[in-house]
Amino acid sequence: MKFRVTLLIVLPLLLCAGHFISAREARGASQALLGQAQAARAAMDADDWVTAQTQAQQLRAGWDEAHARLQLWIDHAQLDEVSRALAGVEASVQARSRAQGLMQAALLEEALRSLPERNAPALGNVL
Amino acid sequence: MLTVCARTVLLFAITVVAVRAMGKRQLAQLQPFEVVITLMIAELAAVPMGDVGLSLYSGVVSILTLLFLHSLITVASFRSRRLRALICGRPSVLVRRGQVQLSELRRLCFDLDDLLEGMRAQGLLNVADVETAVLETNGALNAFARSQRRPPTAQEMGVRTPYEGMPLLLVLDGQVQAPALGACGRDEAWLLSQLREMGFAGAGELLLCSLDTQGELFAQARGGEPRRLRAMEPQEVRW
Repeated sequence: MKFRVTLLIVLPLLLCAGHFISAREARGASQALLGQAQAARAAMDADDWVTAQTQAQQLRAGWDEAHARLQLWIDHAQLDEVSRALAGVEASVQARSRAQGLMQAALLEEALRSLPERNAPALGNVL
Repeated sequence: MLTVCARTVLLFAITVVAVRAMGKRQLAQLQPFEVVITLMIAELAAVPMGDVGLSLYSGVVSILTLLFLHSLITVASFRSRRLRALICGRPSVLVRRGQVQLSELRRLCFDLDDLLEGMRAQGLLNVADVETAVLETNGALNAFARSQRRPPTAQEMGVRTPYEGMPLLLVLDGQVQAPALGACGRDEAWLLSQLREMGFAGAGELLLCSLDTQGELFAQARGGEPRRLRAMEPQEVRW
């Protein structure tokens, strides 16, 4: 019985710690990259392709760094959505396609926003 | 390929630890909630094993949550009989004083054939021989024969029987089991002298050697005939 009571104490602590760490990782990466994605979108909207290029490169560096960590906590399909949208932004910046670039940047922002949201302890997610 | 192997090894280890943590009862007599938890753990471990697109964390979290729920229900039902009855149910008496309880059978949707099959599994061919049959909460049927149809026990016959406990395994596959020797209050030198008396050169050639609570030493060499020796008096037995 002692062992079971220990489990009752240790397991919730372990689960809470796991949730706290995964939520912090996802939120941190999402917030950092979201700012850069918005800056890239604003640059494309203003036809400032040099700034858009710089922002896209920074986004790629930031995402490559965060991706390996996030794989541990978040389902890979969700991470692939971000990777696909980021590749779309890079291609649009390369091709200097404003309409395509804005659409891909919007998709990227949405994918980044959903990183911490899908595992957030909300009733909507539970149901 | 290697990723799947590594994930399988990890999830297998976690699942084994989880099932071990649930206790021995989990492996033998499953209560309804334990059946559910066991099925779910198997499924939860299998999905992330094959699908490398799923994070390992989500699989592990589900298994740990089930382990927590199992511990919670076990502790709660241990403390409250009412809760235990609610979660696990109560045993149902299907045959009382030799009479089949039809209403109970109907309530449980338990077929008469199932009842007879359960009785046969207990070695009772004739329903007339059964005094009591109980359907336990884990689904096992236990049937008890009428006292007139049971072989008489030593107590009923007034026969005194000696103490009969667990024999001690002194040698297993050539290895002397020191804790067992300690339990009977003897040492390796004593064992060797007994084995020599039985015609063996040493413990290394034995498949097994045991000492029962009547003080009889039983030893069998690998590929040889078993030999017996009175090594202790029953009064000396302390285990």
